[in-house]
Amino acid sequence: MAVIKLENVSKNYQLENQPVPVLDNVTMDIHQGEIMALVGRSGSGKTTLLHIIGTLERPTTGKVYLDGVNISDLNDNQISKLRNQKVGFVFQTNNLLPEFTALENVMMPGMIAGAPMAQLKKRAKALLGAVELGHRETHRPTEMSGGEQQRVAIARALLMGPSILLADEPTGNLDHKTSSIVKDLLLQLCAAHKITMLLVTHDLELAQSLPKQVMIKDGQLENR
Amino acid sequence: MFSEFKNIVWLAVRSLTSRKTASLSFMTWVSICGVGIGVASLIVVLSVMGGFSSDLQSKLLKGKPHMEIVAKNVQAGFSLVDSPMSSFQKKLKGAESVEAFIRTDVVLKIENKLATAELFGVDPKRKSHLWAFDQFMVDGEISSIGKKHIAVLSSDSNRYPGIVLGSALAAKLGVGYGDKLTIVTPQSAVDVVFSSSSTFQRHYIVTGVFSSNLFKYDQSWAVVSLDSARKHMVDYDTYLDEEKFITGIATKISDPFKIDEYASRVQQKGLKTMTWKDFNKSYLVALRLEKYSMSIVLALIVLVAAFSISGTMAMTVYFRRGQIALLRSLGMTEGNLLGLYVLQGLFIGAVGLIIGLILGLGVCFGIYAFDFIELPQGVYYLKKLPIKFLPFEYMVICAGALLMTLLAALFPAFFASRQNTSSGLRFL
Repeated sequence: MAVIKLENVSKNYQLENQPVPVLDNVTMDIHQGEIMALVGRSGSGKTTLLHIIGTLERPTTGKVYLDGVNISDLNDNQISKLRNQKVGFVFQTNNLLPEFTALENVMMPGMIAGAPMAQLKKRAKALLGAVELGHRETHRPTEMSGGEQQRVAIARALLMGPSILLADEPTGNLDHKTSSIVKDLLLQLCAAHKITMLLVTHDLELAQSLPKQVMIKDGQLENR
Repeated sequence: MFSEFKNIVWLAVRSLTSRKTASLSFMTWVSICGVGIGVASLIVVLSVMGGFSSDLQSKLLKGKPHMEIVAKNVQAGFSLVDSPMSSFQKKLKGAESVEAFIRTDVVLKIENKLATAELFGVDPKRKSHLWAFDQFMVDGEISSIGKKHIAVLSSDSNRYPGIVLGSALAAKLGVGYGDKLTIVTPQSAVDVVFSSSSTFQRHYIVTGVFSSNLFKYDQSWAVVSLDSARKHMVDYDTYLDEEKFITGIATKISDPFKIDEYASRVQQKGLKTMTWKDFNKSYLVALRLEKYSMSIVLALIVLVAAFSISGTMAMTVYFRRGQIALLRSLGMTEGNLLGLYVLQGLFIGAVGLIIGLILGLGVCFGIYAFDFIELPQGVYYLKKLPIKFLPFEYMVICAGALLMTLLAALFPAFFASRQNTSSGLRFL
């Protein structure tokens, strides 16, 4: 069964009462453990597609299934809970909340879910250790480099044991060496936890280093 | 669900107090101070007004009966033969004292000095303490009004009834114990020393002075026996003596705030009841009005501070659109996000409230314990600023302040929770 399934998904935005098409009849299946790059020009609809898959947006038409659950059947509370448990996000920049330490940022999804603090702390420490940032627990984002912040974001994305990891240009703001470290970490952790990952990038070299690539052009998918 | 709420509370407090925001924005501190000053002002002003009110009420109750039963035509009075004392004592069972009195306006005269006075007639043998002259005698005894006396240092060897005066009235007339004075009233009677077609005059000997520290009584009250006072009633005739006419029945109860219950027991044709509340209605209404209007004005300070909180939070929500979207992407529901920002607003309000409580109660306690504020004597009847601690009012102030901050936080919190997550992520 596909972990992510899209059926004829379209998305339009309204601009001065005129519909602006962003996605046009997108159908795709992504299976468990698949690691895929989503590439395309700027404005091609990559981020919109990612947000729809991650339940941050609802499609204008079409259906989205996450782990067999039809998103359109759920209300906001149910979608939020599903997102909390099943989906991890890593964004391009400013992933972390500046008032909280690295450890607290990693614990955030668990706190939102109402999990006990002691249990969360233990798991968060383990994850920070896995991304080699155990010594930065009490540091705030402003006290860390860009690469370190991305690693903390990755640890946070994995806290709830999601089945899907969605990364939107995770290396976009990093230098080549750090990008490589972050990419390798993502691949390693996703493989270890059998997580399905969809990574949006316009970096073709990064895209080609992943097992599968999907191109999006003018709101439609082209498999590579 | 409880642990979810507990974590949201932790998030709200932590995001306000973390090292990065420990300096809390200037506007947030302004809001906190605004709430604090508003709450402190309300506490101090209501406590002082409570002190004045309490003091005034005790003065209003001091020196006068709690209720008077009088004729509908007050000056005419009514007859004790028609309405015997026993009937009133039966109806007012449970009252501390029930006694007859006469009250009439007269002029006191000694040599070339004149003074208007309110003349009271009471039973000299009674043992109650209804009136100021019962409680605050400084010279002589009230029972002396029932006997006849000779003037001191006078060639006049006739005996005249006794009279007790308020200290200020006695000073105004320049009379003291044993002096003879004349009461003049505009009527004629059989028993007169000097008579004219329009006035009735009678001599008395000053046998006592009272001083209640209430200027209104000390400067205008004079007391004689019931029989003597009756002769000075309007349109006096011997018929009034036969019928034992009086102005009214005075009564005192243990709890003056329950007087309305006693008043309801006395329903008699030709008579009406006047309680201490009726006598001082304008004072009490004015006090209450002043209390409410001051409270409203001062509550506006808290309201302005609440608006400040709302504005500050609205700005915070606007500038943190990206972070709000991030929280939503991590699975925070709209409800939890609303709760997060409402709690932040409440927390700011609560801090201001606590500062206000400490400041307000501290000032009140300081005034109460150290009496460092003196009032100008010619203007006020009190020497020191009075304070009354009002726990119920303080609770209302706290609840009101919290409610205002809650409502103030609601709009920006609602705005935050309804934000489009996808759009918000662009602001990361």
